[in-house]
Amino acid sequence: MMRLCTPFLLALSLMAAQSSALAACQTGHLPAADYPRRAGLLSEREMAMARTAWKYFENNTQPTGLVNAVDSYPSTTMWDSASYLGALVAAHELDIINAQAADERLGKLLAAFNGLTFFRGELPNKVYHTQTLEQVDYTNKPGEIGFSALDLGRLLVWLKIVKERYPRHADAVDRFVLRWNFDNVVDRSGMMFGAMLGQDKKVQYVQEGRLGYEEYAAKGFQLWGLATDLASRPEPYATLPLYCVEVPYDSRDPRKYHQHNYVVSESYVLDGIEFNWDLAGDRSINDRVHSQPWMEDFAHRVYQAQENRFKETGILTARSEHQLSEAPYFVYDTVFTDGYAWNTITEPGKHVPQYAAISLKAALGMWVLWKSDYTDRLFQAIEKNFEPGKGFYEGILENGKGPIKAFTANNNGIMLEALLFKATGKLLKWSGKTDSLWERTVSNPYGPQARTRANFLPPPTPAGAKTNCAEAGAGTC
Amino acid sequence: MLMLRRFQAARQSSSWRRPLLLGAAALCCSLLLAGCGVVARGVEHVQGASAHAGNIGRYGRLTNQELAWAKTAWRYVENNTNPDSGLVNGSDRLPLFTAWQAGDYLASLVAAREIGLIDEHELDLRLSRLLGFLGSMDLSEGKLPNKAYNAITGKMVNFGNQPEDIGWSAVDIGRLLMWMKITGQRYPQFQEYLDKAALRWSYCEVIDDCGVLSGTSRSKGQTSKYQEGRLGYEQLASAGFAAWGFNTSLSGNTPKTEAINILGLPVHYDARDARSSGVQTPVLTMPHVFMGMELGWRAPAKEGFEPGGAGPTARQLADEVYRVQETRYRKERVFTARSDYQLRTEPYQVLDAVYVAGYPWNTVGSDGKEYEKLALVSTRTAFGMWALWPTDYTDRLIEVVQSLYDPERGWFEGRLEVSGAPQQNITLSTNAAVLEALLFKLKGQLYQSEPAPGYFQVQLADVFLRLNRCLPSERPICEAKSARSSPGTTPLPPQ
Repeated sequence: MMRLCTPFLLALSLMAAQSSALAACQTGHLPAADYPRRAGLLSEREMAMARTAWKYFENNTQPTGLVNAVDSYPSTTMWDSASYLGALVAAHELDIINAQAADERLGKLLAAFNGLTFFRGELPNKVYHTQTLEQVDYTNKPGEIGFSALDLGRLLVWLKIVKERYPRHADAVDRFVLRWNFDNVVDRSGMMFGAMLGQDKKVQYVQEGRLGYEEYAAKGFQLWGLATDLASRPEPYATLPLYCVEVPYDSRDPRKYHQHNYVVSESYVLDGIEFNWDLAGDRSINDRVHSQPWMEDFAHRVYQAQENRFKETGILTARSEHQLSEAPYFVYDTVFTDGYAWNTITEPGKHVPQYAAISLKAALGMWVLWKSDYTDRLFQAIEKNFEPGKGFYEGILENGKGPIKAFTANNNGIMLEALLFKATGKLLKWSGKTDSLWERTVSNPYGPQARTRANFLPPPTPAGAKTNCAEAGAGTC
Repeated sequence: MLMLRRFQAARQSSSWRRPLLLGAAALCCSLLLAGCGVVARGVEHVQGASAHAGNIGRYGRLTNQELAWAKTAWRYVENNTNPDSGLVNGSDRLPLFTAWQAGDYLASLVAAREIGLIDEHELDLRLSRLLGFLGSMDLSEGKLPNKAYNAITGKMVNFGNQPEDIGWSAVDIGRLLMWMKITGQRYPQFQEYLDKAALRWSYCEVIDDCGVLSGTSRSKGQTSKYQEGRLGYEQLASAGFAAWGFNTSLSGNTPKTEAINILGLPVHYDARDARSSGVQTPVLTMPHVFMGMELGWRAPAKEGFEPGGAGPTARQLADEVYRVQETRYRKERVFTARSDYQLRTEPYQVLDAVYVAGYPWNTVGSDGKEYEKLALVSTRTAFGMWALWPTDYTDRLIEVVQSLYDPERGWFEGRLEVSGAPQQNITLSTNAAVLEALLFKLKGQLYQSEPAPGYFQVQLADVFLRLNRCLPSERPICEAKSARSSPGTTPLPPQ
């Protein structure tokens, strides 16, 4: 009897071997690398979205010129203020507001920036009260608490974009940045540091930034002439297989360094729409060439893992950090962090899977950077998730319990940025001007900027050398 | 003739063995032709190989040193056998043992006999006393072996060694069942009594129709039941039930897994989420070692069938676990042989894992906290890896652990990775595993298919005999169609 069974079992085991070969992953090529970006005039539906997102900023702009980071709560960070700058530029370029209104808003905001007191006189504090412009802590009580290199990096990106697009405001932008003291935020190896207060109220400078966000924020410092060698390297990183995609993550151990190594869409989306996954100083206008190939590749991987998760499980996936309408108010809703795939955690690291959500800013960012059936579905899923008078919801919970009814500057701002990217491509557009107040001041060997000179990059190559380089052909430079 | 069959078998085996056997076969032929005495050692090798079932791992007669290792391990059993009950302590001088450790004792006994440490008479005497216990032991809720027994009285106890019915562990029972089966196969004169012990138990709640295993916890008269076993120990325990004819399609195959890269190598782990269930899903070495030594990484009672389902097979999983540890040594120069082990103090149970709770080379206690300093080069794991993977690395591992014993008491648990200090706890599980590894080297795969039906099968075949214990013959057919298949790629649903 046993013997008769053997061929059958053999066949069974052969079938098992085959099916496991089928289930095995195809190595190499990522479909995402072939998806084009979305480009062209905005449709009426898309314009309607842009107007809805702008509603948030209409509602939340304070007389000071600053915008609340969260609906009706008079507090903001430099990161969220950068998102406001993104929203403002988009609203203007998409003709939601006219040039005069944009000018007025920008002027007020820069005036507010120039009136800010800094953490220990060094750099903008992590949080400000949007009505009083006071330095505050996260509960909006007066008091300085430190600075964030990532927040400042993103703000520097947007100050640069604004300066290049609106020369009229370049002086005000430069005057603001000239007040910054870069001594402690980027060290000589090009590593970025944030500042916080220890229990004894002494300042501690702690390395800040993990793969994705770190390299993105470093580009902001690079745009203003600081060398960020170590921060700009993807290393140290490792990969893990998620639905047949090797997804890169920062391999610095969160248990040893007390910093989450989250992988989310947002950093790669921002780098894509603002920089076209190019090196910070790349002035080429060809959007098809990405001069930072690893950033492009990592972005495709983070995208592809999410699309594949949907194909395998049916769960629409567009992960980012996002706000909540109830405690704990903020989560890192990730592709991977702290040892676990699809991990959703609070700032202290508590596992809160019930808050996993489609992040609207991540979904729209993915929609514009990867034109695919999957992002069409994401678009349909998010398009109507807004409140007409308030803006877009923060997200849609994966567990089917509906939208997260929180409204933020970051979410609505990045959504506007994404729509502008569809209309005009890479958001950092170079004016070609090189004689601004900033350039003239930092090239002066005397004065307060001289002390961080060691950190500044060598002056840009003369235009003549570039022409020669172009003549020599691609690949030689 | 025997030689020829062995040679054919070797052709299907893994490649490292092939040149060795070809060489041995050539030597053997030259001996026949020329009668040359120099090749005697080669012949000995071939004889060792032909007595060795299953074509994997180290094989051959034990060297004097290996015999000394076995004697040290058996010393533990001699010291810890309680004269009145004939039962063996689970750890040195502590009269408490679990169902798992009852299986350990059976394994030690079979090994000691076949290695030649004890004679027929001592085996008979010891086994008979254990059979007496198995045939009359109190059962948790009258159904199955309790998690712990007192080794002096043979009564059910809690882990504080106070009389109490605390529920059963399906994984422990799985190991006991496996060794009851192996013992009966190797000593047919005792098979009937082992079968009778197995027929006393009621299987309705410990395993369902498709093989899902459940344990129970009892306190203050309340029983709570939980699904027991994660990738590794689940499949090992499941094999113990499969050996007695139970359908184990859901627990015998590889469950849904996730993978992580460690030092560039993929390592699979159980996808059941430890954060929501509270049950860790560690990657440990020992379950894969037992699967290799006892079953050759095949399913019992199904010749040649390698369990796996849609995921990696048992053999692939085991190779993964071995290879990543060898690679850690090669790249980082850290001797690595990791598995779970027991402590006499908090946290009592240590999951010293290749991967657990999100991190590689992580060591977690039963309380869920990390205990980096408790990482161990585990003695039993080193011996298990040495037996199954004949490599330079396992030769070196043995050098690391070979003196970790008290000649009067037996083998220690291992050597602490942090400092090299010995972890001097002495347990039955470690000493039994050393004996099992040496038995494996001598005899090869320990579970064999059965030549003829025994008492158990005859009872089950009697359609008029209704024991109502949910034995294999009393169960409906498993109807889980998509039993543990991994998710396939589905196209985008239409919009």
